[in-house]
Amino acid sequence: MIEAADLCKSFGSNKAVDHVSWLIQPGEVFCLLGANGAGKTTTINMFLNFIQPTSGEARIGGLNVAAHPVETKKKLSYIPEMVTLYPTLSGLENLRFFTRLAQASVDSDVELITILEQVGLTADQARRRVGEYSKGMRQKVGIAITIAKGASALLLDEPTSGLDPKASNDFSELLTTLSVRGVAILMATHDLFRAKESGTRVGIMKHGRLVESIDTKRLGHSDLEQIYLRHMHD
Amino acid sequence: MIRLLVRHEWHVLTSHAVVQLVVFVFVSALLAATLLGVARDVRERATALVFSTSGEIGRGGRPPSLRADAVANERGSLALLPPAPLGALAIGQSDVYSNYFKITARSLDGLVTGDQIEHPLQVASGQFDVAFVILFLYPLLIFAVSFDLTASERDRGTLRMVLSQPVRLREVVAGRMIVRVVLLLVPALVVPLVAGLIAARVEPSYVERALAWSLAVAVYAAVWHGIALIVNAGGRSAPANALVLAGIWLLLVVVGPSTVNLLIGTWYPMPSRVDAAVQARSATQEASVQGSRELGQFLQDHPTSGNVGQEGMRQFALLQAQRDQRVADRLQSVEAAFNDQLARQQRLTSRLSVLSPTMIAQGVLLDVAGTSTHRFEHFRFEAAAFQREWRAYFEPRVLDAATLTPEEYARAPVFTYQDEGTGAMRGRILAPIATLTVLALLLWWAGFRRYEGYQL
Repeated sequence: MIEAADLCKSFGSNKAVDHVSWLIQPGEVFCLLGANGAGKTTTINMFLNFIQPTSGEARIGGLNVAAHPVETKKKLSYIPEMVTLYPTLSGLENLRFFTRLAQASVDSDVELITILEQVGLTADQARRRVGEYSKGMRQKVGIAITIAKGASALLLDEPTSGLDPKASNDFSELLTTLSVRGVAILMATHDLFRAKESGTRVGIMKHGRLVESIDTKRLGHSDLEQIYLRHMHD
Repeated sequence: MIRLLVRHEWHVLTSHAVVQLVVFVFVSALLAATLLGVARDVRERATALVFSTSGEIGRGGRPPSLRADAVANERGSLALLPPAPLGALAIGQSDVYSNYFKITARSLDGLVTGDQIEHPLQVASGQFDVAFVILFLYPLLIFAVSFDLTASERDRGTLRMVLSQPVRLREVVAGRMIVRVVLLLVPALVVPLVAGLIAARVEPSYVERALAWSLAVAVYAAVWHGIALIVNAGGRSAPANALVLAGIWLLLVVVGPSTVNLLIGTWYPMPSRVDAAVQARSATQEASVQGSRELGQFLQDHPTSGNVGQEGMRQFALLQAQRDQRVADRLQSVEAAFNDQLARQQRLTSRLSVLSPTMIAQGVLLDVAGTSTHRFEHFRFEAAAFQREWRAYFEPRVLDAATLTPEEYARAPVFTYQDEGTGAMRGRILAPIATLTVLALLLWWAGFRRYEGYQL
């Protein structure tokens, strides 16, 4: 579960996140839309304990992140816009490091390569230096970390930005696979199409506030675009 | 967790070409300085051996004349300081102070045998030895591997990936610090052991001094790592960190000691050796001329030794002794003034050394190596005591214009240097090492505190 409970964050007089609340259940994909500066990344940063809320709580699996940073990060995985791994290490070495850091039980090369193959990397690619990887391949390693770690919550910050349509589609399919496995997913994105395709729910943030929260089953693509643009023009 | 972070960081850092270059430069400099130092040490030991067995009293060889005056003053004896215990690692004051004195019944011939007279920092800053590599190059290389502790990874976003795992920033930083400390400290500490093995020096005092050296190097390095930690925790970019650290190095290693040199030289200017020798000659000339005039008068009155008799010879010896005493007194006053000035410089150097960890560590390393002023002062003290003993033995015989019997000659005092022992050294280095340790702890504590507010 990924829960925001009346979450607020202010930088001086600027309210970056303003009384935001939601509950993302296991298997649910909550896509967060909003213009630049709407507060999406700030919200994700509070779930990662990179910044502290001014008030309210960010909770993972029912635990307050600020009070239990290490425990909550054991349940959590994070994929930023650019998965920046260690370029001198191979994909396999990177995955091994992050899974050990996460104290995951998966450790053998065979298991790790199997996971990398699940996300679409060959064994040969897995042994190549990450410095030679495309952005799409690095994003796949990010997903592999989530799988290897056995995370129950996944935070994504504009993960498909800059990906070609095929890579973007592959990535969305991987997200669907994770949600089927019961992972609660929060994804900040500008991609309305992917939000509609991958999300079970879509939220729209504006000036730090969650101004809309919609079940995607009730929406068509054009509906979502109109709702989004309406909020942006208000 | 720390073990995992350390292993990972070691793997990443050592695969970096710049870091490999830094380690190569450091190890090469240490090896070159060590080999040069060992070669110098071996040469000094060989020279000392030649001196100590070249016909000195009590060690074989007999002078052509056993006339008391000839043995006591013309032949004299040699007080020789053995090479420093860790002289291979630090030249220190070895090129400031003389490591031998010609001992005669008249004087302790010190000032005119010194190779060079300058104040310590000026001399030490120009040497290439292991101490130089440790004091000046080591901090720079610490900064070279530490200027980008987290900045680039933060800017690229890798640090966010790492910190999204159940690990704290302070653990990540601690792992990185440990790797950087070990990477450079191991070669720095191995050097005394290598030098000791090459020179086959395994006596207990060597071991204690090598351990003290290692401790001093470790706390000195910890100070510089602490400075790097604080600068990194400031959250600037890697190039900005590098610039700030370079400025700090310049300030503490170059500008600071140079300023102290300038202050010392301004407040307590030390005459050059040439000036000191000229002063000594000028001071003794008058006494010498007056004494020689009296001796000349005596010789005019007693044109042949045949009609002088034993009493006449005694009078001549007395006149000679009086002349020598006047010369020695004048010389002593010049030397005393010189040594007072040197002592004032030393005291001021000691006080101002707190301005830079390099100056503090320099004092410790030279003391541990046995090339600081303390050992030379101790040697001078022992040589002066031996000169009094020598004089007491020979003076009655000289004034009696006697000729020594072979037995008397064999019983003449022989100089044996008694080192001050490591206890005195321990006492002196305790405070500066404690100062560096406290400074390092404060810097590390402040660095980790500052990291708590690090912006990702």
